[in-house]
Amino acid sequence: MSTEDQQLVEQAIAGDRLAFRTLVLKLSPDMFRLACRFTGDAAAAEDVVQEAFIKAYEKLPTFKRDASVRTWIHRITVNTAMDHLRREKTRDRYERAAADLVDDAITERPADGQEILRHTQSAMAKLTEVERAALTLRHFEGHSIAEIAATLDLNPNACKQAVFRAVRKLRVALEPLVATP
Amino acid sequence: MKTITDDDLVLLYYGEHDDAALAQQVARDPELSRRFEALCRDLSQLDELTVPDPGPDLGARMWQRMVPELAGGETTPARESWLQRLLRPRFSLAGLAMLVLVASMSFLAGRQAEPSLGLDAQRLLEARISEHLVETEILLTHVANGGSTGARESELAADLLLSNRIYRRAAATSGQGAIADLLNAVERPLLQLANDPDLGVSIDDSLLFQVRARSRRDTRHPNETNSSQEI
Repeated sequence: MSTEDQQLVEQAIAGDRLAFRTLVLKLSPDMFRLACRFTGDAAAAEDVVQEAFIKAYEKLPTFKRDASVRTWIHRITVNTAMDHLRREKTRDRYERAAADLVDDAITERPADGQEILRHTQSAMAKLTEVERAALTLRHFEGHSIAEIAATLDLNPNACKQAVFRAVRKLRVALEPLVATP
Repeated sequence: MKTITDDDLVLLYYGEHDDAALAQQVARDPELSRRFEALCRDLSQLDELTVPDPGPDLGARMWQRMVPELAGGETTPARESWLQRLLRPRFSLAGLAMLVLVASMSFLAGRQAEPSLGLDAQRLLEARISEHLVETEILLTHVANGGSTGARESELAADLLLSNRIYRRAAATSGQGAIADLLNAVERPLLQLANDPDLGVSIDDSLLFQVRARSRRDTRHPNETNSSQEI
């Protein structure tokens, strides 16, 4: 953890809410990106980030000072995002919202590219929460299987299997669209 | 020879396969190479999924939304309605204009005996002012307690000063003289902090008490705010 983050979290634990505000300003973009990967919806992602920071604030007294505050809040955000997915049962909503999110990206692509993008998004939407979390953390966040297992409170083999299932589902969805060499 | 499965290739792709020689084996074998390239092509589609830019003020928005929760001790965050988002005045000229418009609407609605429009706008304005006061209280308490007054505090004070002036004008326009007076009194320490935090800013205890009392009294979700409550 950076010295600055360490100081900020120490100050926040001591009751300095401005120090916590600085952490919020600093970490929000990364947490938003992470939450958006989970929810597929910008507004929902903001709700998740807000909720995660509130949880973090409330749990400050339990923060282990030798840990990384970024990793700690990242983990809280992941768990909050998964809770959100379970609570909202957002699959259909995710799919619709995600289609909106990629609209800008697809407008200037060739037709087959648009179709592939939509299928990719749809495949992601159809993954279970654990599969989506595992693939998101592995593919987009670059976490190791061991780290993901710790974050999701799974054993490493179960986590690995979740990544495998997610990749298989993605490939099955893309199969009709992608030419086999 | 052990059969190489697609799961092996996934682990190889992510650099997590236990067998360090697998990459060479794949490179030497045309069929394995073809399968690995197909996997790479499919997984690369994920990289095409973009995340929207939340804007440079995301952190400030998050903090502003959190403030009532921190002060009120509630644990379930409120989801903002579209009207609340539009009413958020800081960092946005459109939002600023909207706030002035709503304040005017509130004023006119009161004059023209159309209470539903006026009350909704009034309620949202009150909620926003309450959140602003909680945030202001956090800063002033920090300074009053001898906390640091550097660039971080100066930047926040400048943001709050902008909001404060807008809210003061809106409160005055909608006939809420008491709150307009309080916001006026708050402006001076905010101005000092924004412009010259190193000179030292003294926070009057009675002012801090008033801000605290007001923010404690009014901090609640907009949809829970009693519209008839005097602000």
